[in-house]
Amino acid sequence: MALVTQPPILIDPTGFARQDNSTGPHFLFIRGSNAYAVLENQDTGAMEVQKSTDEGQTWVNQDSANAPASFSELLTYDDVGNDKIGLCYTIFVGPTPKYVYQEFDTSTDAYGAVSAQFSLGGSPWQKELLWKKLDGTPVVVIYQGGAGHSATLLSAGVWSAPALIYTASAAGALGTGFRDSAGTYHAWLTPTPGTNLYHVGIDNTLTPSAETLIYSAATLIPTVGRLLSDGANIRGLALVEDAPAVFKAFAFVGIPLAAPVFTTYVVDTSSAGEAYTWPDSELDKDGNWVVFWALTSSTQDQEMMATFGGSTFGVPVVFYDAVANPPPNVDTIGNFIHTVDAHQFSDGTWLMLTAMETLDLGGACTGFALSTAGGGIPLTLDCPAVSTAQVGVFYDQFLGVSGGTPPYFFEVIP
Amino acid sequence: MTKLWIGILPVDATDTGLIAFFSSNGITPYSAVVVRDRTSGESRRIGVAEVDDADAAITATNDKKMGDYTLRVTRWRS
Repeated sequence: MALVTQPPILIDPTGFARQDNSTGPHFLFIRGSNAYAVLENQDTGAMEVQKSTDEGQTWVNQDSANAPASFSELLTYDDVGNDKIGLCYTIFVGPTPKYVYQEFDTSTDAYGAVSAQFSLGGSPWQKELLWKKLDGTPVVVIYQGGAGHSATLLSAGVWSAPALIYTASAAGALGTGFRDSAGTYHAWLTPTPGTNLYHVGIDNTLTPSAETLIYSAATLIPTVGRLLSDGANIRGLALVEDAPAVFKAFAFVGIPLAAPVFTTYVVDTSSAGEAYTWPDSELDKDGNWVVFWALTSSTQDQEMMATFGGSTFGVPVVFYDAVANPPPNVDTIGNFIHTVDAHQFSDGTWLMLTAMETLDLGGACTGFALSTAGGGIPLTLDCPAVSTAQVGVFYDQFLGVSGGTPPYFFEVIP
Repeated sequence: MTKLWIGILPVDATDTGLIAFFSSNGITPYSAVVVRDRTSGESRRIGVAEVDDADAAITATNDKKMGDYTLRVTRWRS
């Protein structure tokens, strides 16, 4: 039984609002008990910042009058501190893509001013766009194109000319990561497609570190989730093929941040006919490392979950089953789970934002919220053997219960 | 017409290659496509094909190889 038992919640019921983090590290933002989701509405062409005050059960589009409209689908966004969500997106001026930066302020639920436009060198179809703004520092955009990875900075309203900062040892792309307290941006590098997975750090002077080999797969490393930090470690989940069609959910930990040495863990291995996609790492409410990935087969479409116990991962559990509990109003032939970002609230409820992908060849990837509220944690009854009874003599019998949704009510059925 | 599920495909499998896989096993599908992520274009490592006679197509193609990969072909889940 999956932890999510209630139906998926359509975040924007008025249209096919798409979620996609292929170019951005996060799209679920938590401010206290409020949740924010950044979406692209495919029907209207407008950006949406949806807000939920009830752990994802209902959502309201914020400041829609000032939302960016008619932007390209390339979009990246991140938490930039001071209650702000940073939004970096493309607009087309003629055939040439231009980029702009804008912030959404969650303290006022309003969009800020739009930055000046800037251009990137290389191919106009830039698929990797990494950036991070630290409080009081410029916005930094790092992108792949041309001879390697280049960067441009926004300072006093002006973008610097793009400059080459890093040429990888193999053709490949830097992936999304995090910036540590020393200002270093930690990213992974995977040749496309390739068998090696590297770590690269780019410090606050935009100087890259040496590449550190994390893992070398026998067949392929199809995809890697974004990197995560608990403050001291680099954590990540990769999907590895060490033999054709044999997928491993493969976790790695690097420490220290300045010169990480990596330890690897196999979380799970696929059975015949199963494919793993969309790896993701999160920290739960107690700081435990939790990893997610999607499992697809001819009969299954599930989001899997496993928790790190300090030296090994626990047995994976089904977080959500899209075959048994399909989303509403979406082609049931497809339903491919992809693009996940999750958070556990202090009451234990998990909220995951995801997209369900239809198979009508041109169909939408529609944003849904998956919540473990309402009985997401399975109900468990502890029923010890009944005491030896005697007619006319009262006795007490303990009945334990956990999980589910309290309060609990019992009825004696004769 | 029936939809078939095909997996797990090599990462570099193409629509043309998938049609060729069916043809080489004596089946001419109405369509055969590699399912890809809509945004990135990356393969989901599975494919879908539309055929008239699903049983015949499954018999002809299930457990057959595409490169190093032995493919499973079944009816699409419903």
